[in-house]
Amino acid sequence: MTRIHFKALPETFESFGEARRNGFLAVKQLKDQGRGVVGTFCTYTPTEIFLAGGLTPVGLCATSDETVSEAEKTLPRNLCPLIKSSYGFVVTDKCPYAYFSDLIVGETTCDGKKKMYELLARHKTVHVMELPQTQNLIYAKKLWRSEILRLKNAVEELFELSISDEAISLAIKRRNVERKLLKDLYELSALSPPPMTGLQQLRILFGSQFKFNHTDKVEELKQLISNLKETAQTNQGPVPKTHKRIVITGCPMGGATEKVVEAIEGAGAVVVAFENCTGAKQYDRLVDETIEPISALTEYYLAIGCAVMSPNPNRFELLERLCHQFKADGVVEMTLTACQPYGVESASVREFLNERGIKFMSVETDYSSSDSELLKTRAAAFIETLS
Amino acid sequence: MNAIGLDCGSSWCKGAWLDKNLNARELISRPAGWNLKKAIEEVLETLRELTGPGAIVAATGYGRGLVAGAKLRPTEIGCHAKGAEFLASGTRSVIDIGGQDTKAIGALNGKVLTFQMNDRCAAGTGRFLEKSLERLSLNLEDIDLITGVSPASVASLCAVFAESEIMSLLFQGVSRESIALGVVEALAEKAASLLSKIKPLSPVALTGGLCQCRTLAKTLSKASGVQVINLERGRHAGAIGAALLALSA
Repeated sequence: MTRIHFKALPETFESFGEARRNGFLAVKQLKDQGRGVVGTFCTYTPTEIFLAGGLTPVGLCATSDETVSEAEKTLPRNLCPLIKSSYGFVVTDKCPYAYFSDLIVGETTCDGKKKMYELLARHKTVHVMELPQTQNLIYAKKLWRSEILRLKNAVEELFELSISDEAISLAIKRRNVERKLLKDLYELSALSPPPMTGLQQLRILFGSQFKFNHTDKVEELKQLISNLKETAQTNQGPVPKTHKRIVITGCPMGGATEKVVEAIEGAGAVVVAFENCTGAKQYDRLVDETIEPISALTEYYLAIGCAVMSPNPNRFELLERLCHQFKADGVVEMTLTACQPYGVESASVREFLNERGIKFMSVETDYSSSDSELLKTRAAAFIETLS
Repeated sequence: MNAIGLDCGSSWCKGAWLDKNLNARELISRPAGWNLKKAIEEVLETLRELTGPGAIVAATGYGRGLVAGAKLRPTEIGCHAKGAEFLASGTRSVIDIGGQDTKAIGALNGKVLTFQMNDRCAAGTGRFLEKSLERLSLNLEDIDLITGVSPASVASLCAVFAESEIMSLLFQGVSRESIALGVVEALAEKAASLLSKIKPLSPVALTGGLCQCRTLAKTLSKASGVQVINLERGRHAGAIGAALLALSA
């Protein structure tokens, strides 16, 4: 792995903004300490495997339109912005985390991604996990378990290390502590009024994936929770009690799609919960610590309710539970242009919520800002229907 | 108390003056052009001269943020529901075909219950019809005068690509009247699919800039399976709705 550890900063380093330069330096520091970095794209990736090997997993799922035009030199225009953007950041060396990743791990979640990984493999070392597209057939669990083991073997071989069951169990425990804290944190928004705006909540959830030191992360989250509790107790939060309460569901949120949250919160409402994989989809459940670790990881990760699963009952179960727990006045779904799984599943979500008398609006968007006025109008009109 | 409602859309800026007895005293409009602010000021000044000082102003539409001194800035969706109820009491469903988007609205007593709107692209909106007619050198009013031709099949709803499809039909020798009807049919199909999502109740009121087009109402009725009626003053539904909200604020 010496080849990778001495990788220099990219030639364009000086041209980047401060935040990104800091990102580059932070990962470089990790690498200089001799720690391998694994880039991941999706909530389905069992990151405990990397942590157990002393490696640092980092999310590469991109949320900006900065590299879309570069990506379109290779990828079709009519492809979801998340795939185009993610690909673009890797091939242009503009993402510090991708640049310093020794390995990139993807899953066969949707067609666009799995074909994109084939192209990505020309630029980086890529390992693709075969993700079953259904959860309850016996084969699905068997396949996913064997894929987790195959990943473990690939990591052991590439990084020349050995990952013990004990180390995986410890990683599970640590990740569970983080999951629990993040859940405790977002559940504070079940209070009326919530002690934080939806945008603040999203930024905490999204940002937490770029904090690499477990102990620091736990301390920071505990501090945040305690601050937010105090805010709630003294009624000094940023949200008036009269604001309508919205749950967001759909494609991954963060970065450019903050515009959806801004449109909602600019119209006299507050986003109280995110069902998306940036939020509750990922932190609602814990990995079982009482069973053999590979089985526990198999169960936990396969049960994630993403629209790539068919059928996808877990998304609906979670969404309904969040609506009740957070006393939602309405649900807004965000789908990304050309995301087939979420785009098609939208009709079922509409019907599901209609049957339960929960107001629903779905918006399709991408990473550009061209539709922000349209989103504002739609969000405001939706909020008007709630009163 | 007098109220002025402004509906600042992407193609036109519409204004309505309502007096305290809820009479629509004056309805005017100006092309939005590139200088939205100027169009808005013109409409506002014209109406202010009529109402005299003290009228409350409410602004809706994409340009609502540009209206200085507006007391409230509701969305055009709420305003169209309110305005349609004013123009045709008991209206439960509204289809507003605007310059850059199309909205299907389900309402009760002028209050929005549900709505559907096209996503980011302008396919099948008023802009699509406008661009197509421009290429054919036809006016909107000409459409209702077309007789004895059947509509050509127009597949592209894209405001940008409509022109290339129209050109290819013209090259095939298809008449411009037939193409124009085909364009209306394509627009109606798109609007009907939005309408179907709100489960419309007959009769559906047609508002927005195309409100007087009888051919569109007829084609849309056929495509959606519910009766769509022309609302005589429907292009001002949004402005009237805004003025009504100003009066009740």
